[in-house]
Amino acid sequence: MTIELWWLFAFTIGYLALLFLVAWAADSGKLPQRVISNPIIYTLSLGVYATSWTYYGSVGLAHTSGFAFLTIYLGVTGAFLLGPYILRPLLRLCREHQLVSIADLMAFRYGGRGTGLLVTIFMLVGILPYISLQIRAVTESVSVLTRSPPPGLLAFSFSVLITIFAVLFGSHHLSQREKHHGLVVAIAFESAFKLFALLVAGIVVMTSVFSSPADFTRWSNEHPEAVSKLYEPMHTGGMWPTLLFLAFTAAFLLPRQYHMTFTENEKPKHLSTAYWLFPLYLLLLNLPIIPILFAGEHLGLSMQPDFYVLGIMQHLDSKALAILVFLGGVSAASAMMIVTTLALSYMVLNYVLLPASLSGNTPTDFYQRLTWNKRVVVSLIIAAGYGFYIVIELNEGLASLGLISFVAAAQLLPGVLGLLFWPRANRVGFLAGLTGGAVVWVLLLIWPLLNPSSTLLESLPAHSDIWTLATFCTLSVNSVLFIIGSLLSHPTLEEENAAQLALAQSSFGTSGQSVARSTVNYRYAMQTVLGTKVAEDELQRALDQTDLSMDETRPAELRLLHEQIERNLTGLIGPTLAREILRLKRNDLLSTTSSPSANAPDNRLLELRLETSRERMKGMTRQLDDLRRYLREVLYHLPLGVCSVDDEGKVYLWNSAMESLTGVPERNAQDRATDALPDPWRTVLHDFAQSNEEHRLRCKITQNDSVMSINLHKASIPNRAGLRAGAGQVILMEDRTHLDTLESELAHSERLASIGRLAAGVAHEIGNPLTGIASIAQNLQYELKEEPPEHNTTVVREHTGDILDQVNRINDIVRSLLTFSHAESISGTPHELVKLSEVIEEAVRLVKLAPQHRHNIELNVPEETYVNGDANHLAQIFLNLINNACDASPDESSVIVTCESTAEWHSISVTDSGDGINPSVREQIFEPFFTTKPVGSGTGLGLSMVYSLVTDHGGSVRIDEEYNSGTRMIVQLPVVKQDPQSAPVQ
Amino acid sequence: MQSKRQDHTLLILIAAVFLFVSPFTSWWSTLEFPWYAIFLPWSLVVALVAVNQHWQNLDDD
Repeated sequence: MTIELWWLFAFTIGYLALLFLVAWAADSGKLPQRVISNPIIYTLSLGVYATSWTYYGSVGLAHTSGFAFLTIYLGVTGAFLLGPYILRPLLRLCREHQLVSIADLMAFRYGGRGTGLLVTIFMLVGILPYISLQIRAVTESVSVLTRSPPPGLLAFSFSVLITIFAVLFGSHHLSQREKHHGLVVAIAFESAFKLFALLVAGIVVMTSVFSSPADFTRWSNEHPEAVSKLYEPMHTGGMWPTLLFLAFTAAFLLPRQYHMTFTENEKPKHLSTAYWLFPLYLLLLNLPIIPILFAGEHLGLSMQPDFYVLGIMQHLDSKALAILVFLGGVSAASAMMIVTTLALSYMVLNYVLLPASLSGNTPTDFYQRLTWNKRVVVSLIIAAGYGFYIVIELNEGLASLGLISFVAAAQLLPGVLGLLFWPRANRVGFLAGLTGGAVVWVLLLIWPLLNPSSTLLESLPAHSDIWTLATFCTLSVNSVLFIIGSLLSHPTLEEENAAQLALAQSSFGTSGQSVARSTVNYRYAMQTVLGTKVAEDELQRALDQTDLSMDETRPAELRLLHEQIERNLTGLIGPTLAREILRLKRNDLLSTTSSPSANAPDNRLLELRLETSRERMKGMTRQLDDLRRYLREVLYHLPLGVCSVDDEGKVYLWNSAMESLTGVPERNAQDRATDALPDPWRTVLHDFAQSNEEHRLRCKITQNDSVMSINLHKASIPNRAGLRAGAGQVILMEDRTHLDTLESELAHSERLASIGRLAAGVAHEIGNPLTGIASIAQNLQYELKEEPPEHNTTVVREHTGDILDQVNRINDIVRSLLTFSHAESISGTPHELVKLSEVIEEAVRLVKLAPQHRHNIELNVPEETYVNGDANHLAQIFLNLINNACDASPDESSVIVTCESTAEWHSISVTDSGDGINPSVREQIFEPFFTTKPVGSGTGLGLSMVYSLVTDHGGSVRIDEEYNSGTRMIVQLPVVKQDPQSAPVQ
Repeated sequence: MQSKRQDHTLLILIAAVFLFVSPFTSWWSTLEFPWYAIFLPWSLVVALVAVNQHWQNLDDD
């Protein structure tokens, strides 16, 4: 059976179009998000590991080396088994720092352009045989199915086809940091397809070549030599452990595996699923290999064992199955080529093209240029793979070409182990090791491939297979140079910081302070290299991610912004260029000199970073952070002003009480020197921080036309916390303005009480002799009435009357004094429910008894208004107020008494028609012995007594400041909450 | 609990090494097992990793 070439070509195009459709559906949202973000899709996408080498070459390798072919998958199982120790830390680094390729990872840890460039070049050269392997597998599979030598244009056409699809798949995304959902789903589809095709082939073999699985088992039992040959490599040693080791390293060091495992990882949790699901996928993929091999041998196919699976389908004369199996091979080859070229294109862009092109003029459209550069690089890599295929006489098996690339990828292992476990490892060691390993790799594996006549290998020890020898030699040279180079040179500060990050000794970025004054510095730094639009876009993106604003000026926040911009630029152009852009000589935005002055911003930065990384905390770390946040909240909400300053006087902590006391927001105070705070706090806090005093009491501060009284206390912070916090001070600020007012009022009350007691004593002492004088004067007057008129006692009687008048006046004063002193001590009087209208009416009635009061007193008090109080004292209150109102009002004028109620208060106002009270004396009218009445007309105790009585009733009395047509006194008494149960006091 | 799961991971790794890269491997591979025998310890390792990871996920949740 043969299949026409054009049929195969058409099916290939159709299959790739289907693949593109799947990718488009994922990218454009036609596929549900739960499908795209599914861990099974992610795991299947890792199946890009299984290339046409697996698909076809495993049978060939099984034929020559038995179960040695399984080491390529058992090694990966080992790598994923050790995922928590190797893959997880790499994923963390990759995600946190947007390291999109293995070259980025190495450049991040070992710094410098040279690192990334060397890794890129070595990976590029190392992977070319692997790409050529895919082209060869497809062309030879076509040759098998068409039963004719592959036409010269076939490999070229396939390469062009893959180039088109690689460009379409990967390069329409603007930057490398974006996830290629379409690519991931398409590669997952390809993995599922090739698994399906191989499993179908296996089932067909079992049921058609052999009549049943039992028949197959019988055949294998009848050929024990075939089975024991499979197990032979396991007990003869040789390449078994070598291949296990190479596969172990290839699982995460091959560019395509790094890309799919780390760069395209949607959620870290998906990797946990892949720990077991991916080895299971590989296991299923390898189950049909032995049945296919045995079937080929059973049928006695005269072809390369690599292509037994196609030969069997031909033998069965099934075009459909043959095309299905062929497409499985196309799927395996195309997936590898697309992902590998995409991953390599990032490396070439970041470490070859961009460093060369960005040093020129500022690009006008950087994103556009990036896209086109990527397309060109993808095309060039596939073209190079095709060139390798053309130039080299490919006499080697498919597996051999793949293993050359595996040994190349393994050269990165010392660097990765140094990254994960050895902080002393540095750039010198890494470059020396990689260069040495690469040279040995070329000598042992590439040179013989290019020069088949080379006699180099003949001089090597006998009985040693080339893969074990090459792996041992390359890695030995690599490791020794790596260790010696690292020990003989010292890591730079940048490398030390990267080592800390890689070893997870610190979760955060490099130390040092941002020396940028504002966000504008970052825009300027970027636009000189990347252009204005990219600079603005990247700055805005970083601001959005850090939740900062364009006008941010605080050093710690700018440092956080610096890290975010560097991270974003790393995802766009790699870590080396990102660092270089932010640290160009003319605008170096990071100071890495460690000085004590860096302490406070570092601590604030630490806090900001802790806040932004809280989601990643687990277990005890999370609990410690909870405790930190709680203590922070305690400090922040302490009802005392708290601020801490570092040894340079820069504010670190500024709590909410400080904000409300000073009116200075935390944002404006943090990271500022105390002498940069607004007045008056600049003087107060700076002077106090500089002084030797530990306490400063009753400081008078004038702010916003009001005088504040504050106490200041301070203590030194010893540098023993183990943090980067240096010596500093904590300052407490206590507002005692209200306390001073209360103290003043208390003193005033004490004074009033003293006056009251004095008045009572004076009244008592004066009262007794006054009673005597009055009695004597009355007796004298009585006796004078008995005298005959001729005694002419008229003058004496008049004088006696005057004496009695003056005595009465003194008596009034004494009575007032007694009443006042009594009022000071009425607080213990029991209160009852009193009907307010009746009390006021009683007061009005008493006022009207006085003949001089000829006023129209209007009452507007609701009938059912009740207060809790003493009826006599309430009557006294309104008697005094109405009496004063009548005294102040002209005759026949109106005095109005009204009552309005709210839910809380009864407001009773007494309004006169007088001239009002002079504003200058309004504050004094409630003081004892102060009166505005003419001398002899008032004692100055009435309103003082009213004030005492009203206060005793839980109310207040004041002058209505807004009333201008006389005087309006307002008494507020609390509303009785409960319904009156008993009858009010009459 | 996290370290307990990691301990289990190391135990599985040791078992895998014992099964596939040790003198024990050389010994059992000579016992004339059927062709599919090698897939059984591999399946066992995958199953153990899956169970361990399942418990790990429960702990994380």
